[in-house]
Amino acid sequence: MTPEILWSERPLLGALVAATLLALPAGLLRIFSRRRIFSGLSLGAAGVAAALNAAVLAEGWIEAGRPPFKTLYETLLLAPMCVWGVTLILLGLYRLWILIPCTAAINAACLLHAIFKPDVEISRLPPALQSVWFVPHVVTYFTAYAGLFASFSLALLALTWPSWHCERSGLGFEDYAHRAASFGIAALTLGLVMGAIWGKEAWGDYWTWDPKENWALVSWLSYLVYLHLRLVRGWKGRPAMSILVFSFLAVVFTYLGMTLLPTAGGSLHVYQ
Amino acid sequence: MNDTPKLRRWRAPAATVSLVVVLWGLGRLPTWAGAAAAAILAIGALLYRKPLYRGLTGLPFAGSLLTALLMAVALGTFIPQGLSPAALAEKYGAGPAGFLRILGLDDLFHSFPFRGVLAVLALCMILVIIRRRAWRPPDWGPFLAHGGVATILAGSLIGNLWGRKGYIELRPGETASSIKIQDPHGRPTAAEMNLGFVLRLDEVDLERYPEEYRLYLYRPKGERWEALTSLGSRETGRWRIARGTGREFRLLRLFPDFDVRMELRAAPPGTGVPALQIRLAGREPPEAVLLAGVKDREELRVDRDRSLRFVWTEGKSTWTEARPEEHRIWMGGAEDPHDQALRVRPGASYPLAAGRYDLEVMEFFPDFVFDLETRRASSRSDRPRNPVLRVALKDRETGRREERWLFPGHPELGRGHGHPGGGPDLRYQYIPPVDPADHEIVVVGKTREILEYRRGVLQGRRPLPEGSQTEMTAGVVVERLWPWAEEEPRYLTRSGEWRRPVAEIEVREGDRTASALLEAGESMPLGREGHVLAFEKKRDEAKVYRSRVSILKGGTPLRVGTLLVNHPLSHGGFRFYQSRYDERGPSSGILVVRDPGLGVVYVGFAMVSLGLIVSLFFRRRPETGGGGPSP
Repeated sequence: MTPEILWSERPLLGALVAATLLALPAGLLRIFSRRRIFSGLSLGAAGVAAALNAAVLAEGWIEAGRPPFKTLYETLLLAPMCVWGVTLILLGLYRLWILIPCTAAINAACLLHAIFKPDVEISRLPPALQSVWFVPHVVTYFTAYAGLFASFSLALLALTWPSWHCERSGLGFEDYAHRAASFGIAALTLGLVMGAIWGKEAWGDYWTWDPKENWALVSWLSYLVYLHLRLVRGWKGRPAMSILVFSFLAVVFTYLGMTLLPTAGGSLHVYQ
Repeated sequence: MNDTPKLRRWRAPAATVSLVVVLWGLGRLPTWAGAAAAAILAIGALLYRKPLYRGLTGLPFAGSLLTALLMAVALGTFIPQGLSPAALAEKYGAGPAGFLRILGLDDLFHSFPFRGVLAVLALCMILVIIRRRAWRPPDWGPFLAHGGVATILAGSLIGNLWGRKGYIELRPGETASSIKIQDPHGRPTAAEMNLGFVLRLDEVDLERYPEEYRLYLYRPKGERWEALTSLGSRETGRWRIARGTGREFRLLRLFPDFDVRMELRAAPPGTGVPALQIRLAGREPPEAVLLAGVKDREELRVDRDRSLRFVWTEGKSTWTEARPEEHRIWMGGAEDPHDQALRVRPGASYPLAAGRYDLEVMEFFPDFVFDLETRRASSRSDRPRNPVLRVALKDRETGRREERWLFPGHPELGRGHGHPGGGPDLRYQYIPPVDPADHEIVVVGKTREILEYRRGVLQGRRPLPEGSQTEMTAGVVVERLWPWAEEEPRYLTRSGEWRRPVAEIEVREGDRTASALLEAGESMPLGREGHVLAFEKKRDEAKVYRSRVSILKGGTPLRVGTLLVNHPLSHGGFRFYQSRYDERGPSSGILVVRDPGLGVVYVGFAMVSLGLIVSLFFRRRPETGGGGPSP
C-alpha cells in the first residue's frame, strides 16, 4: 500500500501512522529536553495516536460487523492501541516519558507490518470464535502484551543504565520494569485462564497442548521464573532484567512465531 | 567438596535435572520395579526430610523446576506429538525416531516424567503453603496463587482418573446410549461407556454466511497461487496497486445477476443507422430494436407465423426473399453472439478456440423429444418447435471427446462441466427459416409506412404516426423511430441475487486505461510477472451449525435441547459439545465429556487469578535469601 493509496483508502489509518511516526521524534525530544513545549508535543502526539487508533479499531469493527481481532492484520492494529493505553497509564502514574518513543517505535513497526501485509478480505467469524470470551480473552492478552512490552523496554533501559534513578521517587528502571511486568503478568494470567475456560466451552478441553497454548504457557512460566528468581539473592539486577527481556522474546514468538513451528499445522490458534 | 556459594548456585538446577532423570528412569521400569524404586526413594526422602523440605520449598528450586517445565513445553512444540511409531520413523528416520521414543519426546505431555514434574510442582506448592503458613491474612496472595495451581493440577488429575471423553456421530432420528471412549489424543479406543440414558438427534442445521463474489489479485508462488488483495462490492471505485506489475486496477461495478441491454441514443445526422424501437407483448425482455441495413438486426421473428422487417429505402418496400434456417454456436464469454457466432450445419466439423477444440455438429432435432422408456431422443415433427442440436467437442491436446446437447433456451446445458478441463461453454441459437409465402410479414420503410404482407401479397399500408406509440401488428407496438441512432450496451443487474455474477473492472497503466468484464470463475492476466485477476466466489464458510437433540429414558423424553459450538448441553454428569457437522449425511459429530474435576479446576483458576493480583499489587515483599521460601 503506497502512501497515496493509504490516504485515499484508509485515511484514519494513514493519520494514525503519521501521528505514531510523529510521536517518535517528539518523545525523543522530550527525553533530551524537559521544555514544556516538548512535553506537550510528545503527550499530544501520543494522545492523538491513541485516539486515532481507537477510531481505526471502531472503523474496522463497523466494516467487518464483528470485533476486528481475528486475523494477524487486525491484531496488529489492536496491539498499538493496547500499548498506547498502558504507556499513557504508566506516564500518568510514574512520568515515564522514556516510554513514548519506545511505544511509538514498536507501534510504528506493527502498523507498517499491517500496512504492507493487509488482509486479502474481511474474514468471517467461524462458529468457534462466536463466543462471549472472544473479546475479553483477546483484549486481555494484548493488554498483557502491552504491559510486558513496557517491562521489556524498561528492562533494556535498566540493563543499559543500571544506576539511573528518578529524582522524585528514587526508583530506578528496574523497579519500574517490575511494576510493568507485574501488571502484564496479572493480565497474562487472566488471559490464560479465560482462554482455558473458553476452550472448555467450545471443545470440551481447557488445555489441548496446542502449540500456541504451549507457548502461552512458556511465556507465563518464564515470567513466573522471573517472579521467583528476582527474590533470590544474586538474581536481582542484571539477571532478573535479562529474564524479563528473554521472557518478552517468548511473548513475541508466541504472537508471531507460530508458523515457524513444525507442529503449527494442526493448531487452532495460528494466524493463517 | 566445599559448599561454596558458587557451587550452591548449581544445587537447584542439579536437583531438577536429577529429578527428571529419576522420573524418566522410573517410567522405563516395569511396574513392580518402578514401585519398588519409588518406595526406596520415599524412604530416602523420609530420612532426609528436613533438607528436602527446605529444598523443595526454596525459591531456587522453584525457579529451576519452572524452567525445566517451560523447556519441556517448548520442546514439545518442535516435535510432532502423538504420532504413530511408523509416522515418526517416516518423518525422522528409524534411528532418531527410536531415540525420541526412548526419551518419551514423541508424546511428551502424556509422558511419565512430564506428569511427574507436574506432580512435584503441585507438591512444592502445598509444602510452600505449609511452610509459610500462607493462609494467614497477609499472605493470602501467595496462598491463593500457589494453592490455585495445586488445585488446578488436582482437578486435572481427578478429570484424568475419573473423567471420560467420547465421540458419537448421529444422523437425524438416530440414537445413542453409549459412547466410544477416546484416548488422550482423541483417538477412539475399544472401550465403551454407557450413558444411562438415550441421546437422540432430532435435527441438524447448517447456516452459512451469505454468498459473496470478489475480484482477487493472485501471483504465482512456487506451485501455488498467493492472493495479494481483493475487492468486493464495498470497495468499488477504489484503485489498488498490483505490485510488481506496474499496473493498478479497480472494480467499477459488480453485477450479481448480470444482463446487457442495448440502448439507443440519437446520433448526428449522417452517422449511425436508422432504428426502430419496439415492444413485444408476452416476451421477456419485451424491448427490441431493429436496425435498418444491419445484417441480422433488421429482421425479427415475432412468433411462428409472423416476422417483422425494418428497411430504410425509398419507394416500394417489400420482402420477397426466402431464407433458410440457421444454427449459430458461440463460445462462453462472448456477449455478442452476432459478432462471434459460428454458423454451423449438421454433419460438419469446425475448429474452435484457435484450433484447440474440434466441434462436430452431429445431429439436429427440430422438434426434440426424449422418450423416457426407450431413453432415446427423436424429433416429433419437422417443424422447429423445440430445436435441439447434438454436438461433440474434442480437445486436441488431451484427446478427450465430450458430447453435449445444446438447447437455445437453456444455455446452462452447454456448459463445460468441471471447467477448466471440461472444455468451453457453448451457446446455441436457432434462427428458423423465413418463407414470405408462408408468413405474415410487416415491413416498415423509409417512407414511414407500415406495409402488411400475407403470403407474399401486400395487404395494405398505413402511415406510422410520428412521436406516438403505434400498434404495428397484434402484440407489437412501435415505441419510437430513430432516423439516426447508435446503440450502446448498458450493463445491469436483473436482481440482487448471485445468479450470474459479473465484475466490470478497469486496469490502468500510466495514462492508459482499459476496462473488461469478468464473469464468475474467469480470470485475466495482469502484467508479465504472472499476476492474475480472477473474479471468484468467496470461500463458503459455516456461520452456525446446530443440533437439536432429545434425551430419553425408557422411551420417554426427559429433555430437549440445542447444541451449538460454545454452547454445550449438560445432562446426567455429561456435557455434549457440537463438534463436527457433515452436510453429506447430514450428520452431527457430538463430543461427550464427563469431567468430575471441572469445578475443582475452575476454583483453581479463580484462586490463581486472584492470588497473583493480590500478590503483585497489594503487598510488598522484602528481598529474601537463596534458601527462602517461594513468594
